[in-house]
Amino acid sequence: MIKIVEVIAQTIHNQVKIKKHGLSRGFTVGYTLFQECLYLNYKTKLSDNITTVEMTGRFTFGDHSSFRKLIEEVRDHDSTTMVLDIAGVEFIDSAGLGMLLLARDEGEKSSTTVVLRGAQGQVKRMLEVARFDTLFKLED
Amino acid sequence: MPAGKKPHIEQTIAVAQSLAQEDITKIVSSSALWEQPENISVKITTGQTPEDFPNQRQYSFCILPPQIGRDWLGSLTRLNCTHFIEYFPELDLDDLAPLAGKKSHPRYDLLVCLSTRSAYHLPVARKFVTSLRHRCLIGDSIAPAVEMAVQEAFANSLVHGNLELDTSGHLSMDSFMELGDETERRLASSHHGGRAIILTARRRKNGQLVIAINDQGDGFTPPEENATAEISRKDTTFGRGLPLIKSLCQTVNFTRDGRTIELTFTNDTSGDNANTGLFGDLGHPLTTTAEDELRTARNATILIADDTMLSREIIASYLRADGFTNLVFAKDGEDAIAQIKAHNPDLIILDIIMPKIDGYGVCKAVRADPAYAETPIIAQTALEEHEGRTRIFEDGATDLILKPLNKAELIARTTIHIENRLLVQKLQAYQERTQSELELARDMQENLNPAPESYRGIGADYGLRISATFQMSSELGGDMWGLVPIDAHRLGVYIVDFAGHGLGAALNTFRLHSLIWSEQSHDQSPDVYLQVLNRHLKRLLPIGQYATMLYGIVDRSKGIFSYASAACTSPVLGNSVTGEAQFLDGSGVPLGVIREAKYETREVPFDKDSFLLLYSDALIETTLDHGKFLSEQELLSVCKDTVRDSAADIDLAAQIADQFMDRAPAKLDDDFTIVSLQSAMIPGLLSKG
Repeated sequence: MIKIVEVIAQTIHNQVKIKKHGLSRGFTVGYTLFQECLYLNYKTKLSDNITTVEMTGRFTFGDHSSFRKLIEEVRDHDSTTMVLDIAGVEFIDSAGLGMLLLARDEGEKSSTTVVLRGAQGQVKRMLEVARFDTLFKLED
Repeated sequence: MPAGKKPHIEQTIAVAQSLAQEDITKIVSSSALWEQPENISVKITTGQTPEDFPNQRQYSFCILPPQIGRDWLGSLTRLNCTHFIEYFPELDLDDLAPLAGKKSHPRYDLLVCLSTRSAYHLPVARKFVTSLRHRCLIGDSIAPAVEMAVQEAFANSLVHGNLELDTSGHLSMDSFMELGDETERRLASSHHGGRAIILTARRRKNGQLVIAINDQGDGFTPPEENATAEISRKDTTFGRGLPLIKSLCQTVNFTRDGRTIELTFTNDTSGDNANTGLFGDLGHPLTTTAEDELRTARNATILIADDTMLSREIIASYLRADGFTNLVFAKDGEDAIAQIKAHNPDLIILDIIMPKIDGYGVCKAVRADPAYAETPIIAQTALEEHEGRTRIFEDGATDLILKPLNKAELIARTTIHIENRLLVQKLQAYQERTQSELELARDMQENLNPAPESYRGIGADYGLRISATFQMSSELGGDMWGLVPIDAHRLGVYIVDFAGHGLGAALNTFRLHSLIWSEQSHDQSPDVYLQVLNRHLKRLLPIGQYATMLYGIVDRSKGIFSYASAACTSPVLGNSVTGEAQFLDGSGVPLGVIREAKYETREVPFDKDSFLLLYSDALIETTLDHGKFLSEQELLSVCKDTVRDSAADIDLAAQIADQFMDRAPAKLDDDFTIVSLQSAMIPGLLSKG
C-alpha cells in the first residue's frame, strides 16, 4: 500500500497558501522554476517508509514558516529515512543551512536518517564549505 | 557650492502613483536628501509600475510605495536612477542623513532604502546584485560571491539589527518555532518592522567596490571569537554568517557603532567596465575627439624642449626645411610642461639635461596625465652610456636620438612618429563617430516600439492590461513589436525578430516597420496580412535574410484571438485566475524566404480571464545562471506562479523579464522582447496618458 501525500506551500507576503491535491501519484511534472527563486517550495511523498521532500526555489532566512510547515508535515510520516531532494534549490544562505541542521535534529529524535540529495551549483558549494558531509549523508 | 550664491537646480524624481502628495512633499523637502533643499526645484514623474518610466530619462531619486512588492523592487534594474527609497510612515529621514551622500560622504553609485517589513519578504540581495551587474559596477563572474556576501550581511542587519532577534547557539525545534512567531510579531510592529535598512554601493577610483548595509537597530559589532569562527562550526544552528562573509570579500568593517557593515570587493578585470568614463573626468577638455580640421603630418604641432637656444634653432631649421612649420619651444622642463598643456603638441622633442625639471621628470609628468599618454616623445641626448638610455625609456620616452643630431635621422624619426600619431587619432575619431552613429541607430530602433504611455492607453481602450519589456543586445538587434488598433473591438498585435543582429538586422526592422505602417488594410485576416507582407519583404530583403513574425487580432466582442505565425516563438495563452497556460502553434514559413508563402489563421478563445504572452527567442535561448536555457516547461511554470502569486494584479511581461534579468548575463547577445496582454477586469485600472 502506497500512501501519497502532496503539499505545495508557499509563503507569500506573510500569508501561507496551502494547496492540497487529492490522491495523485508521485510528483507533478516540471516544478523546477525560475520563478521559485523567490520562496522555498516543497512537496513531500511517503513510500516504503521513506519520505522524499522535493524542495525548490531559494532557501533563505525568510523561509522559516514554510520550513516549519514542512517539518510538521513530515513528522507524522514516521519514516525511517527522510530524503531532502534539494536539486531544485538554486540558492541557500547560512540560515538555510541552519534549517537543514534543525531537520537533522528532528530526525535524530525519531531515529530518522536525513539524506541530502542532488545539491547543485551554489548549494553544493555551500554544503562543502560548511562541511555538511560530516553531518549528513550526501547523495548525488 | 560657493557661499552667497544660490544656484537653482532642477531635479527629476520618479514616484509611485499610489503615494499621497503630502508624503511625497515630506520626503522631497527633507534636508536628508539634498544639501540645500530650498535651492532645488523638483519635477515629479509618476508611474503605476516601474515599466511606466521612460528609460532614457535620468532620475535623482525614485520613491517606492509602502510595502513594496516584486514589481517595484524591479525598478532597481529598470530605472536610470541611483537612489531608491521606499516611503513608509515610520521612515525616519533624519537618520538617513548620514547615508544620503552628504558632505564628507561621496555619492553612491546605488542606494536602496527599504522598510524591514518589506525587505524581509523580498529577494533584496539578488536584485541588488543584478542591478550592480547592469550598472557595470561588478562583472558577471564575481556576482555570485557578492550576492552570497550581501545576502548574509543583509540578513544579519535585518534579523539581528532591526528586528533585534537572537539566534545564537544551538537551537531546538521549539525555540526555532518561537523565534518564527516572534519574527512575525516584530515584523508587524511599528517599532521593529518600521525600521529602515539601507544598502549602498560605490566604486572607488581604484576599481574596488564598497557595499555597506546600514540598519537602525541597537548596533552590534561581533566579538573577536565570533569573527574568527569557522563556517563549518557545529555548535550553532545559525552561526555561519560572518565567517562566510569574511571568506567572500576583501575586508569587512563595522561602523556607526555596529549599525553599518561595510564590505569591499576587488573587481574582476574581465573587462566589462563600460563605465570607466565616469571616472575619467580629470578636468581636461579632451581634444582628441572630433578633430574639426584633420591635421596632416606637416601642420602637426611639434614642441622642441632644449635649454640652449642654439640647439632649439638647429632642430627648428631642420624641421622647417622639411615643411614642419608649426613649432613651439620650451627652454626648460617647467616651461616644457606648461607648453604641453597650452598646445597639446603632436610630438615632443625633448632634451634630457635641462634646468628646473630634467627630461626624465618631464617624461614622467607627461605620462602621468592620461590626456598625453599617447603623445610621442623623442628624447635627444648626448649621453652615450647605456643606463641613461634605458632610464629615459622607462620614464616614458617613445624614441631616442643622439646628439649631435643627424638631419636625415631627425626628419625620419619625426615623420614616422607623427604619422603614427595622426593615424591613431583618425582611427579613434572614426571609432567614436561610428559609436555615436550606433547610439543614434539604437535610439531610433527603440523608438520603433510603442512607448509605455501609448501601449497602456491603447490597452485600456480594449480592456487589456498590456506590459512589455525590450532590452537591446550589446549590438544592434532585430526585434520589434507593436499594436494596431483596427476598430472598437479589435486590436492587432505583432512581434518580429530579424535573423542576426548588427546594422543589417536593424536596417531590416526599419524596412519592415515602414511596410507595416504604409499598409493601410490591417483589417485582413492574419494569414492574408502575413502573405502580403511577405511578398513585399521578399522584394526588399537580400537573399539569405529573413524574419520571424506573429500577427494576431484580439477580438473583444467575439472573445477570440486569431493569429498567423511566420516561424515565431510559440505564444503562450493562459488563464489569469488559475495561472494555467499552454503553448500555441507558432509554426509557419519565415518572412522573406519564399515569395508565395502561405500562412494559416488559427483561432483560440480569449475571454475576460485570458492572458497572452509573446516573446522573442532570447527568452528561451539565453544561457541562464544554471548553465541552461529556460525550458518550455519552466516558462509555463513561471507564468503560472507569477499569475497565481499576484492575483492577476501584475504586469506579467515585466515580472517575467525581471526574473529573467536576475539570471541572465548583464549583456545579452540577442534582443530580448516580451509582451503580455491580460484581460483587465477593472476599468480605469490603468490611467490613460
